[in-house]
Amino acid sequence: MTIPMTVVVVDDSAVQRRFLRGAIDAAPEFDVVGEARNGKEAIALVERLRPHAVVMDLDLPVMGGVEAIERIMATCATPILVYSAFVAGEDSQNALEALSAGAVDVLAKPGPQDTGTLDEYAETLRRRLRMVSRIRVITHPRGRLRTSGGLTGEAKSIAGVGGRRPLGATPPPEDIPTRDGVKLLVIGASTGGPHALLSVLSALPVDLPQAVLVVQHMAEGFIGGLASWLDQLVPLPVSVGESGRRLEPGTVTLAPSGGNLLVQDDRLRVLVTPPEPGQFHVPGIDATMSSVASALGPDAVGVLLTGMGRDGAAGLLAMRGRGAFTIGQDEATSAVYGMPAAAAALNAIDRQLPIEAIGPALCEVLRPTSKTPR
Amino acid sequence: MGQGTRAVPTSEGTASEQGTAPAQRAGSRLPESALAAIREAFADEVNERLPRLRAAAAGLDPDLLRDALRDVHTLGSSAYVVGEDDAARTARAAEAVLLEERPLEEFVTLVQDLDRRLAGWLR
Repeated sequence: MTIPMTVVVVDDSAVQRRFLRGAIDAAPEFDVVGEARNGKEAIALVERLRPHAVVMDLDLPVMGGVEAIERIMATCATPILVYSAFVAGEDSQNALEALSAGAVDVLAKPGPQDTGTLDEYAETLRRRLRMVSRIRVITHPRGRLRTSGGLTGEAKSIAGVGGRRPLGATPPPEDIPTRDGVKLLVIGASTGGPHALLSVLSALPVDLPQAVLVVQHMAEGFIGGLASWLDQLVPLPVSVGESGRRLEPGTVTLAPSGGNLLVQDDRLRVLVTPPEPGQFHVPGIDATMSSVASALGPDAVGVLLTGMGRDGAAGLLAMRGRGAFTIGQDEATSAVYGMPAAAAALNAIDRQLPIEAIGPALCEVLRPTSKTPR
Repeated sequence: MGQGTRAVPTSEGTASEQGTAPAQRAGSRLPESALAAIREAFADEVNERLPRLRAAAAGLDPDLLRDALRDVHTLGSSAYVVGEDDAARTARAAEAVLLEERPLEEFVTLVQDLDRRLAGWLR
């Protein structure tokens, strides 16, 4: 008999706590071992019980959910699934704040606008919790530094609250080649991606001579919020891509929800196409990276960050096969070492690096030398 | 219809006279003990929060209205869980009035409506 995964639920509403307990305990692999009504109680309970996972509301009295997540991730890193009414649509910023604080996933509470059944919500909750509870999380820098009396310069950079990391503050890894002629940096990410993206993009200089294209797996309706959130925190302007536009140097473009963003030619014009039949991840990283391989060959750099599954591995291999330089996030700093592991297994990666080294490495790779691109 | 007589969500799928609760529509696998605990907790919430909402609507005091925002939000989410969909919509509408700083007369009317819809849960 296997030992159940222990779970702590956090919500100020007893109705929601009862529902969460009933829904989670209905699966034999889980055991709800504690309930907290606010962020402060949650921290104490997690430190005492050391659960395998936490399900947490955001709108909490005494101490809010985002602060509680930061503190838990600083002192007792635990996979956290946010379960809140304030994370969808206009409130997607809250979801991104929670993910940035270290939460692994976000699920919207059902409400009067929904048509599902309690049983369906319970099943969705258990499915997401299964995924979340398997993730090995790491201590989160923002919380760690806040609890020790304030943010340092490096933490501000990593957390994105203090502008960009001064160039040279973290030296690039050794043996990182500088590449002339690069026009585009393309980055793929999935679970744990928003925080990893923040770390990488915060390191890029405001006068970057290349365009940046990001494909982040994300539910419909969240990409706009992610773009707004990153735009406030990183030096480069961030927006969501549209068909017919050109990717401009010194800007970050996010692939939109609902389709694949393809780079058409070396002038960096993009096209959004419908997903392939049966395509699991939309927007697809493989689709974008494969198009970049065809359009730009060696004049691109590819990065594959944390994420579950294999999307991006084949696309990164195609890029490397055409002469592009490629980087994969390492296992120790990946929230989920799935996509980068798949890429490494295909020999699609030139350098495997911890998240904090990827930004400085990119600065080195993309640094103009004898000539500027274009 | 009161808490004692209202047909509440059960694993057997008993129909409610005021509408079919979400749990019933699916033939929920949530055990009856869990559903009973949810109903009991909802009755507690109604009895704790509805009087505060009445007071906020009667006095329109800024401090009371701040608490009222949390109360209508919580009641909105919880009412949906127990199948009180109309009450959930009314609570969400009252929450929107406060969030959007619309005329408080709308809030007063919606609290009266909510009071009527949830009266059966008062002890």
